[in-house]
Amino acid sequence: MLAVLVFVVVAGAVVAVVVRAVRGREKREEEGGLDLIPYLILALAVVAAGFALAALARASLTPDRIIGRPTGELAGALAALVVAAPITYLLWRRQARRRKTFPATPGWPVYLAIIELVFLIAFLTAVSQLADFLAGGGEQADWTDLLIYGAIVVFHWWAERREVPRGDIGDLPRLVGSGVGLVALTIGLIGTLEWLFSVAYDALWGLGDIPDPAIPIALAAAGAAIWTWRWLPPWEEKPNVLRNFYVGFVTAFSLIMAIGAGVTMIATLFTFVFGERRPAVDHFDAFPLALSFSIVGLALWYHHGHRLGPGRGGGRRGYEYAMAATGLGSLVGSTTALVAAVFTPTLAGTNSGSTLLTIACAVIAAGWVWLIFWRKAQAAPRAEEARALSRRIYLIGMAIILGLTAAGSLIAVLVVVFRALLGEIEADAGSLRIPVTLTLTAGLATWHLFDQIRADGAGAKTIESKPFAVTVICSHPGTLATLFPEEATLRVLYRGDDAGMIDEGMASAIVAAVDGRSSLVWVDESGFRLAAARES
Amino acid sequence: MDEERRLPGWVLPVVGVVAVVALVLIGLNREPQQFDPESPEGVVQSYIAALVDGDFETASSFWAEGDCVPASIEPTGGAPDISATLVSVDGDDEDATVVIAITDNTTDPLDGIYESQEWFTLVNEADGWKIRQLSWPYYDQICEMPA
Repeated sequence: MLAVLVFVVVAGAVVAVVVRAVRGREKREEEGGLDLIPYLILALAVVAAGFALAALARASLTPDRIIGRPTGELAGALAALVVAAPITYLLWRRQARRRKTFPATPGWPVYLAIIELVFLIAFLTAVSQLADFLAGGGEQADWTDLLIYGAIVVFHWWAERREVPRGDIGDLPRLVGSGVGLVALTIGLIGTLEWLFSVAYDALWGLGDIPDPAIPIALAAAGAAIWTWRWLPPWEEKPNVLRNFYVGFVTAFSLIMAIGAGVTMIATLFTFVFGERRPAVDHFDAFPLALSFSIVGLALWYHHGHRLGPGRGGGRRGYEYAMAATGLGSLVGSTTALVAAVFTPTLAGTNSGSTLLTIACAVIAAGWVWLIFWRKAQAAPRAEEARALSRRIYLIGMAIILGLTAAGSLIAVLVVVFRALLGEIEADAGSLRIPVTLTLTAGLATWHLFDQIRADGAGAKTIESKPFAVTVICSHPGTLATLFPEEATLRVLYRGDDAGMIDEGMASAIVAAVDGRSSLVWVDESGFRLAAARES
Repeated sequence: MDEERRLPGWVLPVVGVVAVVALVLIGLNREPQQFDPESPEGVVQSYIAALVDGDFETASSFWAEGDCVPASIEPTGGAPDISATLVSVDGDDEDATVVIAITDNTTDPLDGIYESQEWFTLVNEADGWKIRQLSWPYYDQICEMPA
C-alpha cells in the first residue's frame, strides 16, 4: 500500500514538473526546427521505461524462486518506471501534437531509429536466449523479455505507419530495422549452413565437432521476418543519399565476406596440394564455415547489387569505391606480410609453405579486387567522376591513412638507421624488413592516390574554364539538371507526350555522353541521341 | 473518423499503471517453488533457507563430513538477505552440482542490485545429500576445503 502511495506521489510530481517545463517552452517556439532534443529525451525515457518494465516482468513472472521474494528487482524496476514512464507519456503526447504542426522535423525518424536499434537488438538477444534454453543449453528462459521488447518494437512500427517520417532522413528507421534484421539473418544463416555442412562433413569423413543449431536457426527465422518486413516492401520515396549509402555498404560488405571466404577455401586447397601434408579431414575442417560465409555473402551481394540502381548514380559508385579501398588497403597489408613471410628466417628449414601460399592468395585477391573496381572508376568520365563525394572520400581518406602508415614506417626505418649511424647498435637488415616494405608499398599507394587527386583537380579547372550549353528535347528531364556540372547551361524542350522520359540511369548516361561539350539531345522511346552543337 | 475512434488520453496510462501494479503484486505474492528435500536442489534450498533465517546450526548440518570445515558456522557477513532462483542441476547418484542465481536485496539505494551465480557441489552420503564445496556465502575457514 505504501509502495503504491509513493508511486502515485512521485509520478504526480514528475508529471507536474514536465508539464510546466513543456508548456513554458511551447509558448516560445514558433518553428519546428530540428526537434532533436525532445526526441532524444523521449528515446532515453522509453529505453529506461522499456528495460524497467522488462526487469519487472522478469522478476514477477520468470522463473520460480527457490527462496525469498524479488523485492530488490521489483524496487529497482519500480523506481525506474516511476521516473521514466510519466516523462515518456507526456513527451510522447507533446511530440504527437508537434508532429501535426511540423510533420517533417528530423527528430521523429531519429527517435524511431534509436528505438528500433535498441529494442530490436534486445528482442533478438531474448530470441537467442530462449532458443538456447529450449535446446537445453540455456540456464533461464526470460520469455517476458521477448514479449515486452517485441511489443515496444511493434508499437513503434504501428506509430511509424500512422505518421510516416518525412524528409531526407525519413528512411532512417526502416534502414536501421533492415540492417539489424539483416545482421541477425546473416549470422543465423551462416550458423545454420555451417551446422548443415558440418553434419554432412561428419557423415562423410567424420568431423567430431558439430555446432549447436538452435540459436542460428532462431536468429535466421527472426532476422528473416524483421528484414522482410522492413526492407522488402516498396519504398515511398526515391532512393536518397542515406539509402544509397546503406545499399552500397551492404553490397560491398557482402562481397568482401564472399571473397574472404573464397580466398580462405582456395588457400586451404592450395596448401593441401602444395604445402605440408596433414590428414585431409583435419585440413579441410574450416570448409563448412567458409562455405557458409561465401554462400550467404554471395546471396546478399546478388540481392543488394540489383538494387544499386543503373549507371554510376545511386549506391553503385560508393560500392565500387568501397571495394577499391578495401582492395588497396588489403594489397598493401598482404604484400608487406608476404615479404615478411618470405624473408623471415626460421629456426630450421624454410618458411612454412602454407603461410606463404595463404598470404600469396590474399595478395592476388586484394590486387584483383582493387584493379577491377579502380578500372571501373577510371572508365567513367573524369569530369563527372571527380565531383563525386565517394571518390573524394576514397582518394583523400585512403591517401591520409596510407600516407600516415608510410610516414610511420619510414620513421621506424630511420630510427634503426640513425641508431646504427650513431654507433649504438649494429645495422640489422632483418629488423628493417617490415618497415621498409610497408614504407614502399604504402608510399607507392599514397603517391598514386595523390596523383589522382591532382589529376582530378586539373580536370576540374579545365572544365571550369569551358562553359557549355545542352538542349534536351524530352517528355520529362527527371534529375538530369542535378547531374550536370555548374558550367552547363541546360535548356529543356518538352515533347508533349510520354515517350521521352529520362530516368536516373539515362540521365547519368547523357551527362557522360555530353562530356562537357555543347550538345543537342533528343530523347524518345528508343533511348537518346546526341549531336554536337555550335559552341556559344 | 480517426479522431472519433481514438481512445481517451487517460486510458493508456491507467492500463500501464494497472499492469505495473499487477506485476508487482504477482511478484510479491508468488510462493517459492518447493523442491524435494531429499534431492540435491532441495538440500541447497533448505540450506539457503536456514541461512536466510539465521539458523546457522541447521545450515551447518548440511555440510559434508570432512577434515576441513569453516572456523565458525556463522557466515562472514551474517544472515544474508537474498532471493534466489534455480539455474541448473547436474550430476549422478553420487555427486551433483547445483547452480543458483542469487539476488542480494541490498538496502543501499546507490549500491545497485547485486546478482551472481553460485555453485554448490554435493556428495551423496549415507544420510542423504551433503554440501561439500561452497562458493557462497563467505566463511572464515581454517583450511582449504576438499576439492
